[in-house]
Amino acid sequence: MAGGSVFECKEYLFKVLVIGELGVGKTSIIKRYVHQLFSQHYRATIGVDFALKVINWDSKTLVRLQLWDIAGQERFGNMTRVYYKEAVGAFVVFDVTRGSTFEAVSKWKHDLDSKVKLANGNPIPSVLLANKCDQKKESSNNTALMDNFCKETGFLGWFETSAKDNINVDEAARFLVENILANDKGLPYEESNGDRIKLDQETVAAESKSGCC
Amino acid sequence: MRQGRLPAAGRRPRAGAKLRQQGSGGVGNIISNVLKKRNGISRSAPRLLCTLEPGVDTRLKFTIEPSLGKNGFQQWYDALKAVARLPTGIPKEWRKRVWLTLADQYLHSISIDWEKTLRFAFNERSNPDDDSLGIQIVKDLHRTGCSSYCGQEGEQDRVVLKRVLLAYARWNKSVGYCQGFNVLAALILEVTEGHESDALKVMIYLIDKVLPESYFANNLRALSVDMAVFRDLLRLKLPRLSQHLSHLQKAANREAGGSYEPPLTNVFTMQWFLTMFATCLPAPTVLKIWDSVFFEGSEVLFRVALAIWERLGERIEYCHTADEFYSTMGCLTQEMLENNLIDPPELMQEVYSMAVFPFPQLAELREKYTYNITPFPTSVKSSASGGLGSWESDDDADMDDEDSVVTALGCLGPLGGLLAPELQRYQKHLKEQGNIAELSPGAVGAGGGGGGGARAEHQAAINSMMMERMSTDIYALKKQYTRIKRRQQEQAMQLYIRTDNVLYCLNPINRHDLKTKIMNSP
Repeated sequence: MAGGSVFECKEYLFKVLVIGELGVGKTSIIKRYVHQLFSQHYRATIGVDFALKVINWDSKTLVRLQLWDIAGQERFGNMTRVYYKEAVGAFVVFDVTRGSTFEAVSKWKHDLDSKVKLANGNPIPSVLLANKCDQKKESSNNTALMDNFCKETGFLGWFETSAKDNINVDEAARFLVENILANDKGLPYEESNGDRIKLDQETVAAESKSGCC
Repeated sequence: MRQGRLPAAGRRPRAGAKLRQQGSGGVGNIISNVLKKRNGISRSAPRLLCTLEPGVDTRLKFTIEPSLGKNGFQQWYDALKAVARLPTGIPKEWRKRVWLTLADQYLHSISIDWEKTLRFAFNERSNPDDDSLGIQIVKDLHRTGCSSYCGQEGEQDRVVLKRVLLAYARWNKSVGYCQGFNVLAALILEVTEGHESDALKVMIYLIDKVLPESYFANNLRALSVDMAVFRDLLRLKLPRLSQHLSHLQKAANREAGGSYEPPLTNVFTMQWFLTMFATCLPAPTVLKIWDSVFFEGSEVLFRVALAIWERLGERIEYCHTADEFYSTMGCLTQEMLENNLIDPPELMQEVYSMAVFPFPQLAELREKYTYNITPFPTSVKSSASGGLGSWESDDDADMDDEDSVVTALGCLGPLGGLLAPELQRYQKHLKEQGNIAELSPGAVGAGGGGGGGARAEHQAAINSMMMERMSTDIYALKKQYTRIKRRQQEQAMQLYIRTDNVLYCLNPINRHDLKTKIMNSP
């Protein structure tokens, strides 16, 4: 419907989760990505929320991205778990100004992997977002550490983002969708093998271990 | 016309000022004043209205001897309940007083030393739990959806909001802070004119008394029950819409290759019920709904939700996919909040007229979904994959295993105390075991895979003991429930009659008559 005049267009519908501790900026990232705006005047997510982003990926591909904004408070976990079902990708968000939210990343990732898997049994592709990077105090270079962390925890990669200053939000989303598309295309042909297809060099750099959890 | 019905509304500065004076006295003072006030009000609804007529000395009526006792409060309650049912509802000038009277009565009924509670709840020194609580609360302070809590100008408001939220969390540790409380407390503070301890009082009354237990705690167990109940009510009351929605849900399931799409109303029921519509309707409408909830109970939430869905129905029937539905709902929610898409008097009228009180079948449905959880899952999942995250069932009334025990503990209600120690021991035992599924009767019967004989025996013993106790207690509970229900129905009948009287009296044609009658009466 929103695709306009696209001929012979292949349409995809992807369900993507946005998870992480309370107040790390999940809703803000979604608002920035979908509505291109940032506001302090929003409401804490109660339970779960939904947003749709339609992407004209290329001349032949239309991607409808369902973004599920999951409340960060632990007690909602039981109510929101049904929304994990059939998700094909996820953003795990933390707040660079609060160390505790980074410590919780492994918990969220583990929770994610235990609740949802790809059809081939692999964990769903997930990307780590270090949000509020506009407020980062010292510009220490943690790149190597973060790369290593992602590798160990099973993230495809990580991005420093700022929903406020619109830094890296589109890039992170693009990166995730690329990987989801790769999985999606890979499925019919590579079923027996289960390995991901490498779409571009970015993926190669962040290729995570596959298989075990 | 509508204004004509309650001429007193909006012109009553004296009573308000008086109340504030009372507030500055000690607890004893407050309580005795409240009692006096109640008894004054309680004479009858027409009398109440009479006392609020401009020019009439309110003092006299509000300081009548507290001779009527408990009955006095009930009469006041019934009268105000009737006022809330009028198209104009409770005038906003009364609201603070009405809410506080309700809250005070509750606190009085549970024999609380309020001064002591206040000292503890608003203590400046921090408690051990405050840190983690504080962080969560602080993160949500500016996220109430209300701009007065944002930016630098909102600083003072945020401080007050934080104190109230922290105070409630200290008061009720088992509930603590639940996201959404910020929205509730912000609106309550608006009504109490920023008065912290009054706001705490109302919050306690609302969360501890009015709303079902475990709406905000224990994994929001009662809320998930209500979500399931609501879907049933929607099916009964709006069959067409309900069918359309489940059609969209199923279509989405097929499209995604037999995957699972949660019931479409859930996202909204969850948000609406948890914030009592404060996130989807304009504040004046929300306050009318809250008045109603305070007097009629939590079933009003179902009524309002049904009325809203009915109004949105037409636009939703144009949606052809679940996606489209969610996107449309995103717009509609915004419209409802900002553009008065829903007319408040009309909405409230429907809330009252859609069904008799108590809502038919509601109690049964709630019971069904509360007790329908098998405390001990009998099915043993053969697939050992993951363990933790295997999807048990599509229905949110089914919960994961550990929760069902927590829930079982909660849902025993008044009889829970009898079982509590055993259940706690049992629960502790489970934690040690890691997975309750192993403990289910089925699993025990299926043979101790890795457990070992002694453990299995121990488990079996606990299980049979628990099952036995559980079934007896539930039987007792059911009996008690029937009794309570019968009593409620009797009360409802009485109220019905009284309400009719009041409505008759308030009819504008009769008002003059009434007034003269009251003026002439001693």
